[in-house]
Amino acid sequence: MRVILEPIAVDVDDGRPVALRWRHASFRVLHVVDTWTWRGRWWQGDSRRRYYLLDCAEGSLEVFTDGSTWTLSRLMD
Amino acid sequence: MFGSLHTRSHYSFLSGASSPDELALQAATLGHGMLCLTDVNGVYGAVRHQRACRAVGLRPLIGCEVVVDGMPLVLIARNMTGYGRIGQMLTMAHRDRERPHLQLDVLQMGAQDVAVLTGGHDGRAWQLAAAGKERDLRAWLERLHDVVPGQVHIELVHQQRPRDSAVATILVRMGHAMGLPCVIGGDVRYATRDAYATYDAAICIREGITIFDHHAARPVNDEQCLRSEATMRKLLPYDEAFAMTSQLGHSCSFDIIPDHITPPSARLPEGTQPTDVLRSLVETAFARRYAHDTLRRDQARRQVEHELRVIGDLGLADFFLVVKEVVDEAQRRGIRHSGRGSAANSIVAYLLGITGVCPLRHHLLFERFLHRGRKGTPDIDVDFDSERREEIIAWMEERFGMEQTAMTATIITYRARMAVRDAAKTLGWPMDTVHAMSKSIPGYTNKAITEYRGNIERITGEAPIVSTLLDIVEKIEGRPRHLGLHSGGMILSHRPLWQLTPVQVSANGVHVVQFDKDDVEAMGLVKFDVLGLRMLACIAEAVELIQRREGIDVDIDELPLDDDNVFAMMREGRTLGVFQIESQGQMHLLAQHQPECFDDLVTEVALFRPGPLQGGMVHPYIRRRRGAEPVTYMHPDLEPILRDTLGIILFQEQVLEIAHRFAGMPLDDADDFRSLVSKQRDRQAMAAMKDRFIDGAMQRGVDRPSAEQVYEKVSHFVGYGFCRSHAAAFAKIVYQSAWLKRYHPACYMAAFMQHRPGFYNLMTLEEEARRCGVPVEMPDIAVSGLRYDVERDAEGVLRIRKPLTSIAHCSVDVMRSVVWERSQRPFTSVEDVWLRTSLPSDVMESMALSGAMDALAGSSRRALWEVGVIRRRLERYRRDPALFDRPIVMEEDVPVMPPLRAQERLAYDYRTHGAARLHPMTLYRRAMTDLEVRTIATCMRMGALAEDIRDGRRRNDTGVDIIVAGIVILRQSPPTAKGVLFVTLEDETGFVQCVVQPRERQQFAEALRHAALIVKGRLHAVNKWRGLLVRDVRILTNVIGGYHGHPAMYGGTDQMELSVTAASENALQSLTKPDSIFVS
Repeated sequence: MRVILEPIAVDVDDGRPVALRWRHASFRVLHVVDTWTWRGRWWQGDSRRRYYLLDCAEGSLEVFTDGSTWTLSRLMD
Repeated sequence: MFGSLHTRSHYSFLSGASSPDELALQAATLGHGMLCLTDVNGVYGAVRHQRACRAVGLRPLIGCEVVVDGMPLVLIARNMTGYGRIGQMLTMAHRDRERPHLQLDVLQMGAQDVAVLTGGHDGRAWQLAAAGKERDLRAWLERLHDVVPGQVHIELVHQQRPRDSAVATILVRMGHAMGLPCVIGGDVRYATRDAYATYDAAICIREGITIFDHHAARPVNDEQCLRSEATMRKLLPYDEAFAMTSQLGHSCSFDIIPDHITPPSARLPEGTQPTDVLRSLVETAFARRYAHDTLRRDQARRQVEHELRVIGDLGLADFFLVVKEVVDEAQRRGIRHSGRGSAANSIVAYLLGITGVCPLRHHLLFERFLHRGRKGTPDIDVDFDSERREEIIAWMEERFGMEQTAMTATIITYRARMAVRDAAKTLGWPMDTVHAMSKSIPGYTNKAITEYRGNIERITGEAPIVSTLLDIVEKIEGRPRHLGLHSGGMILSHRPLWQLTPVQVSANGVHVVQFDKDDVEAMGLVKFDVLGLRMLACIAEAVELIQRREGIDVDIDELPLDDDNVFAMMREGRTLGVFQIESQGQMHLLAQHQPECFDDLVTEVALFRPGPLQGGMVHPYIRRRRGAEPVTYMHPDLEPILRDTLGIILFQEQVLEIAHRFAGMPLDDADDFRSLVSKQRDRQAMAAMKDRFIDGAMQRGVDRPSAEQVYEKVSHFVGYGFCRSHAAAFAKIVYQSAWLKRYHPACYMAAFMQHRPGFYNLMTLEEEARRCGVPVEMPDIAVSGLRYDVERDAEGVLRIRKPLTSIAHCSVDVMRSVVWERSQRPFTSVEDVWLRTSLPSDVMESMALSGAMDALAGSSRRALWEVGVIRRRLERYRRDPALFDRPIVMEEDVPVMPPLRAQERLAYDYRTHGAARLHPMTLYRRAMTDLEVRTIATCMRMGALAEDIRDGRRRNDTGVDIIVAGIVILRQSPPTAKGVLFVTLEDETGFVQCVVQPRERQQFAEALRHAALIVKGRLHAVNKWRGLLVRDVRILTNVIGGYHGHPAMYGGTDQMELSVTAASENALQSLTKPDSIFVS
């Protein structure tokens, strides 16, 4: 999977991503493979991130959110 | 019932971040019903854990995490037997000090009493499942099951990490397939979510990395905390696992805090009872001690009967007999010992020879030591000759058995200074900055770390990262860091200790249990403090020297304690080298107090403590004693209790008696009261006590205002005040040391220099010896031995001879060969020494510079030159053995060598044997006199003169200003002194205490850190004591021998100024002009 780290628009249902849009591509979530949290640099005030590994028809995406914004961290297409 | 079965506290030493209390509290808040503590390789927190759980209504479970066959497993005790088995297994695991671990088969020991969990993320089960190696997983689980059938539980963990859900599924499936139960583990490392930062910091410190480094052991998120059952059910939706967790919890039940004690067993003759043996020993001693003491005999008899009854009722006869066995063995081996602490209150202890003071003679209180209401065993602490303490310990291990003896643990927790050091390191500061930062924090402080922000920023500059530093320090302060080395408490038990606690071996080879002294007592184990007191070694050596060199046998223990010459010496403050009363502050107190008898000594020893000082007892006592104030009692009922201390509360026993007799509290409550007052930590408990005290007094007919007044006075007995028995026990040693100094100064000071029981440096000790009329001779290779010794000169005067071992680099092992060779025949030259002993060149150089070979070579410079020549030529000679027929050093080769200048002699003396034959200040005396700087001895004379001028009214301030100069030998800033700095200056005529008030301290802060000073101050005098109230300070540069640095508990001996260039003649160039000293 290649590292991207760019903002991504996400449609959410009950907290979980169901559809995503990045650059000019759209992705539809088939199922959530895994989810985990990450705490980061507490001394710098990093906020907690929740990660999702998503299986979509168009490929596999790893995204994270800090509660307000969503970021695409890795992509395999 | 739900709870965490796998939990680490901060007793996992930097691998867990919360205390057992914090864990219990959070578990209760989350609605858990139980909590299992499983620290790494130990049960250190078990007692606290059980207490904390019970306090909040949780069921406590105890276990541990231990590496088995390379990866961690969790063991949980089902019952007391299981706990004992865990103790046994952990003891075995700790045989490998570096990496405690067990072989799988050992788990069989646990049988049906120890449940096994497969471990969290770092356990084998989880790792194999995560790697997809299901066949290996099955095989391993089968092996585990074979070893501990019926005890294996597959641990399920979910900490919101990648693949946690998937792995849990695999493990559940495997459990079903194999018929093994699953439980919800938790693998908790800290109590609440925000403590994750503390945990991360701890891991970084443990691994020696900074927080900016990556490391596999660092946590990735904040999910390793305690979580609610609801949360866990959402993450791990396996009802059976929850049911099994509850079942396991219910099946574990026991109380590790027993209601009985486990004492050692005494060796008794066939068919006798401990109480009978005790009585017969006591009677024999009684006849010897009191049969002819008509004054005290009846009272002693009553006391003996009372004590024997109490001892019998509490079942402690065995314990006393055991202590007597140890003390008898010491006696047999000629090892000096002295019982200390509250045990000296007991006449039985006195008759058995455990303590050395008669409690009747000193109005001691047995109840302070032991009474029927007392829980647990009493504290019997005995000081032994420090040089031979190891012998006694070794004997005890042999006598009671290796398995039945061990030391209490000392768990070192983070104090401010250490916390700053580790936190700064982990934030990436370079080591020398880290050292500076930690040094800027005092060693002992009660203040919050944020109050020292300024200290730190002075070194680092202001920066946001300092906030992070303080944050980390706050998080780790007070938490365990590692197992300490030092411990006095020896546990003696009649059954193997591993039944109650694992036993491990500390870094210095000592067997240690996993509980500190408080938890050890809670476990019902009996401990006996075996302490080393260097003063005892000193007294033993002094008595020996007196026997050998003066031919006199001194029975030091049977000395009558009433020689006024000894007290006169104390009154004059000539107490440097005397036990307990040699500090500068004590000298001042002695001048005010003017002790005349042994009882005064007991008071003197007890007066100079934080308790009486902070409680404001000292000055009132002195005033009453001097007749400057009438002796009054706040209430007539207090008179019998406080009569011999003139109405002032000085001793812990008096606090206890007041609570018992004035406020009517029963003895054990009165004892609790006493303990609470001394520690002053629990404000709520104190408030409750206050009401009880006042109510109790009023019930006895005391009016409320008086009761409140008395309570106020008593509750101010803060900090540590001595108990009277301890003061009395110590006072005997004080008297013995003072007597020896007074009558046998040569032998005593020699022994003192050998053992160094005080805190003055060697130079000061040598000067003191000289002031006592005892010359101190430098090390001499023809005469010196391996220890400080005493010899007679041509006129028969006793003088001290410094040993060869006082020379730098000359250890006992190395010098042994010198002494051995010399005993065959004397040395004839430096070459002769070298050829016969083959000493390494640094040793030879050191000896040469110290002057030890002056007689052989003619001078130190020549000796040094010869050492150099021999070294170079020896190389050549080894290659060409024919050359050996000629001497290595030949007279024609010797160059012209100027004699050593005084400064060089001084510097080399300090460098090679820690003290000079001439005081450093003698080099500057002429220049000082030119500048009207006086000798310190002048202060002694001037004060006396000033007193005569006075009109009869005793006042401390003499009205005279004086300028003196000297090297700093002590620098103290005690917390009880409210910001005042005490600096002790020494010159060749003596030393004087300089008192620097806070304003001057700030004004001259920089100068006061230097090793040598010129000081102008107002002279104060109390009898023979002199002090200088400092007005002005100048730095005296280039003088060696003083200490520069920060004040410390015992004297601010940060660094001695020793550079040879420093001892330069040009030192005073800047001071040749008189007006550069002080502008008046």
